[in-house]
Amino acid sequence: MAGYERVGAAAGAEYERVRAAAGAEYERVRAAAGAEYRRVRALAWADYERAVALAGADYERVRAQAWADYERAMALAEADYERVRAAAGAEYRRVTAAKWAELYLREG
Amino acid sequence: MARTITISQLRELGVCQSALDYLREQTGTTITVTPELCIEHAQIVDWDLAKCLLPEHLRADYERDRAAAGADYERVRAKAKGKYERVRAAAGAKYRRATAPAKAIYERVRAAAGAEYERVRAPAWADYERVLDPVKANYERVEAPAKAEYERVRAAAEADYERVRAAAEADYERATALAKGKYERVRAAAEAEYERVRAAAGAKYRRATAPAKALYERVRAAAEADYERVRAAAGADYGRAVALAWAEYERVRTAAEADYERVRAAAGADYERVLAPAKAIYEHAMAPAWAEYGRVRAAAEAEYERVRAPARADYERVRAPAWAEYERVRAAAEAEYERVRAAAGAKYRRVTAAKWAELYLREG
Repeated sequence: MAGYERVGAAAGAEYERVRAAAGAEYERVRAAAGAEYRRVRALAWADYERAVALAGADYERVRAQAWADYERAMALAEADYERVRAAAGAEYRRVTAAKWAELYLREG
Repeated sequence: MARTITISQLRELGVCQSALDYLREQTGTTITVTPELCIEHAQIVDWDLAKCLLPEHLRADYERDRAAAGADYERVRAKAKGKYERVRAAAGAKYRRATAPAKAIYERVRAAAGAEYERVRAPAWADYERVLDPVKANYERVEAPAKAEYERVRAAAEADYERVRAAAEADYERATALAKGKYERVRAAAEAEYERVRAAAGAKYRRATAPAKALYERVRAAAEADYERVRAAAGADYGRAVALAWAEYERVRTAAEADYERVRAAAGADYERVLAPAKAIYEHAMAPAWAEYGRVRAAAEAEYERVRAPARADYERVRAPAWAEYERVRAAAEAEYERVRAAAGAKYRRVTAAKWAELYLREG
């Protein structure tokens, strides 16, 4: 190792020793305070999730029943519409077929 | 009176394949048209596609009845669609009415739970910051001067190193400059000699090939001029003949077209006939000139190579010892440089070690 690198490394090691000693206390306090904060936050979040899940289940039960009613009513209405439309279409085809045959035979 | 229509006719009118297959199965390939038959199969076969088979004067009658039937269809369909839309709107309103109270309760509970969560979380975060802030400030108070001291020592050592290195490099450059200049002088002289020999050989090559190349260019130009002269004369005749034929063609279209083709073909043949011997003369004259050019060029190139090779060898013979001398002087200068640099490096390490020990003991 070159002289310059040795001096730099020694000064760096001293800096690292001072920083680590001061940093250890900082890290210890930070970890402990962080753990306490996370514990409190997790408990509060669990309470929130439980309350929302219970209310959500009630709402979902009512909503699913209402949606089933809606779907049933719409299926009936759609079938009715299709029945009427198909009958009108068949009548249209019957009338145009009869007229076409009548005119086609008239010139025969 | 009975009238028929065929499967082929219906296919041409655009009736789809499945309807045609169905109809063929029911009636065969020829259908005897009756109102009853048309009505019976009206849901499969769209007889409207066959309206073009009706005589022109009856189509308005057909279109009138078709439009009335279409209007009836649209009226019934729109009424049914209106009923459908009314049911849809009512069912949607009923859905919203049924779900609104439960949704409101859900939203109320969710908002309250969110507020409660935030009520607990916010002071916990404030506690975290309150505890951590002084510890962090203390850490930064200790860390900043330690870092500054490290930077100071590192910068001083680097500056010292740079000073010694620059001085050693200058010594090296001074020691090698003389040898390098000598080498450059020898190399330049050898290269000039090489260039002189190469230029002379090149000039000789160009002198040897010039007459053959000039002859080639002269023969080629003469043949091309001859070719252009013959082509222009033949082209004028051709254009005149074509212009006459074109005028004749415009006056009596059908008859003139035959004349035009005849005259054009004759003029073309004449053109080819006049041109052929000139082209043959050109090719006949050019072939030996090209061969001669190639022969002279190859001989001159061989002579050039014969002269160039020994000149290159001479150059290498002069250059090699000059290069060896340069390498010898350069290696000696490099060894001297390494000796000076190593001594400076040792001094540098001695100085920085003493400084480090002094500072280390000062804080003890």
